[in-house]
Amino acid sequence: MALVTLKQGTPAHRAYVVGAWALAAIVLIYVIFAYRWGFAPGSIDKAFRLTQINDVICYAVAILGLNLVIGFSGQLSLGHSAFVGLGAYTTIILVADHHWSYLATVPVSAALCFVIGLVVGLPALRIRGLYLAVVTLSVAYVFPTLVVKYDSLTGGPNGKKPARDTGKMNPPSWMPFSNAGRLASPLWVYCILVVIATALFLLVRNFMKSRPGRALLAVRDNQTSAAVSGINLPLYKALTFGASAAIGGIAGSMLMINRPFASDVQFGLPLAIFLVVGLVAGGAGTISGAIPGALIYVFVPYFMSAWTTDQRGMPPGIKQVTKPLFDWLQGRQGAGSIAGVFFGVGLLIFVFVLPGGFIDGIRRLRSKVVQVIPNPSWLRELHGSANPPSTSHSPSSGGDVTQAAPVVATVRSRVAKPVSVKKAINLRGKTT
Amino acid sequence: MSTTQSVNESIGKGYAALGRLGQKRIISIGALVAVLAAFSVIVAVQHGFTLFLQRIFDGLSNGFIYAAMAMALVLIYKATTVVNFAQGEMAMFGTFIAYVFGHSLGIPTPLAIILAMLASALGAAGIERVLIRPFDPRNHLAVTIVTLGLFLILNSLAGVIWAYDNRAFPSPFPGRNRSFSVFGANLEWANLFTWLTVLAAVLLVSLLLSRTKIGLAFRSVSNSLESSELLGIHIGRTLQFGWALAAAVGTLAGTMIARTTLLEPNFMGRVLIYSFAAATLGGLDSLGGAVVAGIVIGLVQTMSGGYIGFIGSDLAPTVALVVIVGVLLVRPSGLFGSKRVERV
Repeated sequence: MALVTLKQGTPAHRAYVVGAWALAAIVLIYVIFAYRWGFAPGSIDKAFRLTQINDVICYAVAILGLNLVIGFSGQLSLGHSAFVGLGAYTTIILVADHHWSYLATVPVSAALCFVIGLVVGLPALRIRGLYLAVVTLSVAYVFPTLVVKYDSLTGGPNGKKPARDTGKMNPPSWMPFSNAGRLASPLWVYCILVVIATALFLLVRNFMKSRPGRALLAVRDNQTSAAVSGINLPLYKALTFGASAAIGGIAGSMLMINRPFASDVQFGLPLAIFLVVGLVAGGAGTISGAIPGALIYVFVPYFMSAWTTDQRGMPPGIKQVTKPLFDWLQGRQGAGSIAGVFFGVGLLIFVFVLPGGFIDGIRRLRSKVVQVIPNPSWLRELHGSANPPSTSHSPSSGGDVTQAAPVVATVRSRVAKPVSVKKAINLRGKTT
Repeated sequence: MSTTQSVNESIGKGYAALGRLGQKRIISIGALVAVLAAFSVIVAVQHGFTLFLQRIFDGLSNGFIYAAMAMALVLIYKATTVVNFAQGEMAMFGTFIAYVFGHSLGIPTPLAIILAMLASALGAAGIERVLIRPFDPRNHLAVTIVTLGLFLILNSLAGVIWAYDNRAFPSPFPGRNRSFSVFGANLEWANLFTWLTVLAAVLLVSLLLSRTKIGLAFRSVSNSLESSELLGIHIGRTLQFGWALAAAVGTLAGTMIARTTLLEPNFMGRVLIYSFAAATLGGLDSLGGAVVAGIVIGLVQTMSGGYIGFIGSDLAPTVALVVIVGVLLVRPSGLFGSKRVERV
């Protein structure tokens, strides 16, 4: 039993929600102050660490987009790296060759990726499950080969970067950190990326609470019965692919804002796989799971490979335990790839111990402390807004018979419009 | 009366539709064969028959290797209904073991390959017991993620142990670098032996599945998990058998590939993509389909890269993959895969 029980809609619950949002905002703003005035942890170069944090934001957005397809509509797509790459190359080509500003390219890459995503999503209308996984995997495989093939446009294996000062991100003079020297640019990039990412996270969050969002969940849970309930499967699947690709494209543009350099190896199969890994480690089907997923993706391999060269910055307890291992690795040629071994083992541990991902673990911990009793607004309206239901009549305790029927009716009318039997059968015929 | 009539009518219509469906398939396969034949004749006339035959041989050499890997993938798919992303890395590891047996212990190469196949079968059985069996076989995402984790671990572990240098893998066949001529086209003896080895492996595996008790159990489990449980089949051990068999076949394929490419921890990546493609094209649960599709993909890759100038060797993989997407659009469960019927 939880320590605190909060009922949805009560002032205490509202304060809890506002407090949680405020905490998130404080953490985001704290990063600026910490790096500007130098009380950030760690002895490493601050501009470098800040760039890594910016990377986390970009990959969080990429994982968010992937989550739309895998976590929310239940189609295993492994081609997300191609969309991230497409967005990145759109930005870098427009900036380097056509002298656009970085921010102006973001909508372009979103639109382009949306269209390409729709096209790639077309097979998803007929192909399902692992067959779709293989098709999208081949998209991920093909993208770098196309980059190499059209090297006059993309720079090929040498990569592409804009001339030194083209569209460089410098903070306006009114920002408090505009005179922070080398840190000024990454800090300003951080602010821009946080704004874009927050907007996208809120967008997806609200979308999943809307009617099309619920339709997506219905498609994920049971495609056939979703079709019978009147959900237009082809439309939703194609649009999901498009939206996911668009978010991936924005993530690619954001990556280029952070580090303006694109090459074919950056956006190959490993990225596609690691994005899925990050998604699962963070928590598939949860919106906030993208953030721990991206943290894991950026920082775990980094620290692993840093520790194989020297054990600086390693927590002291771990140092003694792992000393023989790192001693053995010293002087071996492929020692750097021990990071991959740890990453894989960590992934296995995740699947065994926290199958729902990081966020699921946090939620389980939280449920030991705070429990929220659902009491959504439509239920409150049903009971009369002036007169909120007392605890004995709350839906969690069953309610009485006279109340049950309208509740069920309301729930039904919110899921989907009823369709005629004939139409439902037609739909089913198309899907199987 | 009228209801019976209308029911009869609709049943009749259904049968008629089924009949048309069969005809349609024959027509479409016929069209495909005609297009392929026309393509062959045109390129054979334009660029000469010898070149055409040479490309057929090259395509077949690639294709048989894809077929062998695809067969390993299909075996695991039939066992766990999951695509094993670690299959290529398992094969890579097995090939390194064969290399160590042959190179460091001085065992003759064919024997070393067989020993490595046994070792990787044992290893895969262990992996199945420790990492796969704890999960509910119906929990596909978890098992898929485990295979992704295995992929990372095996790839990096090979990098740590053997580093990323290219090593030459000795050919297990007699007549190194010698070839004979068929209508003017060169065919290496080693390539011919590779084809025969893969064919023998296909034959052995299908015999194993159709003639032995464990093979029967395996087919039963891959057909219906629930019914097999009710029949008293030990699901875990049967799936373990599937993993071991797949790993052995994968190692065989790996050693066949390493002969032509060089051996290093990432050498299976490219092959694995095509094998995925082949397994998908053939229908993920059909062994014969995997073999046919592997050969088809090898041929498509070689032919399109060789004859269509725009494609060249850069885009040849792309074309092979586009072909799969096209086929899957028409037949969503591959060429030979069994169709799933769903009930609400």
